[in-house]
Amino acid sequence: MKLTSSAPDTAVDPGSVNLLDSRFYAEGDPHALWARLRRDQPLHQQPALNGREAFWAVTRHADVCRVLRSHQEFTSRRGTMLCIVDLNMPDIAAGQMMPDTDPPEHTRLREPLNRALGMRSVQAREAQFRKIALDLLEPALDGEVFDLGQAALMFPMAFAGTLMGIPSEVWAHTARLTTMTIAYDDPDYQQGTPLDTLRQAHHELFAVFHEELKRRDRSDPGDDLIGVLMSMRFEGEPLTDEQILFNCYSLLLGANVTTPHTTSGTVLALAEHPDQYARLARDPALINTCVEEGLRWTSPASHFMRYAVSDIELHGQLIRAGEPVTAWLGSANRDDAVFPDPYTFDVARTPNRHVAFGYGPHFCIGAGLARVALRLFVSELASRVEGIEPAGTVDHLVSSFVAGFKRMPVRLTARPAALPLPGTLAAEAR
Amino acid sequence: MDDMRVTPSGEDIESELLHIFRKVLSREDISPEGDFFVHGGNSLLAMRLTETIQQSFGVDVPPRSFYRSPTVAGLARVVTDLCSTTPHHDGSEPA
Repeated sequence: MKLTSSAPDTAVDPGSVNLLDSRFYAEGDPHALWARLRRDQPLHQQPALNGREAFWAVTRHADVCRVLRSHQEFTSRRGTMLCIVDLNMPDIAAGQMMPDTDPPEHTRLREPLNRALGMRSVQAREAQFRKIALDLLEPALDGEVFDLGQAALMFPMAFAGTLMGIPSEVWAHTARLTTMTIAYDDPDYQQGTPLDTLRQAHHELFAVFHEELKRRDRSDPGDDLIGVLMSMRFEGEPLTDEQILFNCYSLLLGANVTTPHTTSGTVLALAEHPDQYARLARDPALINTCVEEGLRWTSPASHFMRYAVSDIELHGQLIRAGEPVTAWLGSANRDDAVFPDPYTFDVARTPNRHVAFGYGPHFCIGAGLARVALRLFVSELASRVEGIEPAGTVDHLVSSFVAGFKRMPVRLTARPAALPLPGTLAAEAR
Repeated sequence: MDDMRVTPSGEDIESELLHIFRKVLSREDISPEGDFFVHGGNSLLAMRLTETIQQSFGVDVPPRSFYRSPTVAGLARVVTDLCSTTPHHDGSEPA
């Protein structure tokens, strides 16, 4: 997705755009459409098209927050991604994996996982995580053209693989499968029809997790995330194998299909704004705000979906019970009601109430981990790299769910000597 | 023991696969040409199906070949090919 640096032209006619068309996000200009919708049609209806159900779209920051926060009005129990509408396919994990539940069940499912993903376990692995960040950067330091878009696809897999306890031999395969699930229309990822592509990716991911379940001793499955899922109780019962597999899937997907694109997109923004990069390098205290601005700027998860619980009036229109409502995070993060100069990339932006991690009860459970990963990477970058230049055509993922990169060639110039790094990063992560 | 490979016949394979389909989908009304996904299959059950096939025949069906033709008849062809090229049958039951 094009991440515009100036206010986009809002002349686009919303009626001419099919929000289910994945190519629009790779080749079109969603930011221009969103700007128009925020201004003129804050509640937009995508009509039923080609046998797909009609759905609503909210694009303003305040409405996005309301839809995501208010589970009494908008439920997650039937699934949370547009692919359900696009492929006419019920969500098989509905009500069983954490993103597809509402409070209070959601809270009971989330708590044990939250503990396992908490700062204590992240801090305990800081040295290991710093090495992962450095491993991503080091091959790019030779001054040659480096495809950060490709390389970054493996970055969160190493973090999530470590915390979940997935063997490193299958990381590359597994990372590719997770991208397949959100890029089922992308010719580089497709295997047969879009629906076959999605099913096959799910099938193979379940197989990877099931291998891990079979390998472990059920009475002592370990204290990593898979171990927690295998030993925790939910509503008084252990999770079923299906529930464990669904939740493994959702945890890994949350990491793998999002963080790479904030990593690449932040570097691209810094390459396009050398003044901002110089500012960051002069003042390492800006690393955290730079990471937050990178999250806002890239907004890798474009939307989340909910279903209206009862009839709801919004902006003078009636959303009927049972209708799907999509909340566009990427749009909320350019809303000038919340962000002054929203199309300016500002490494020192404060406050920065972006919703890149979502909002409300389903706020990304891996946000702390993602922040640590991104801070480690950006601090290593600022310490070792003098200059960043774009070095070729950027290719975008064909996906209505993820605003992401397939190829993003850059050329980095290493500093003669690394600058000193700021202190421990994990300790500061919220 | 000498290499005494036992390659199940195409008919045996098909009837065993039909049995596996019925068990995984928990329904009896499956014909050899019936599509797994039309009869209530999904990606999780498909994973169970290929695992059960692995246990019964000792072969790994590549998901890609399964999705090309997700029927008993389609899988029978894939499994027949795999059984004739996989050198593991020594007369005993596969692990």
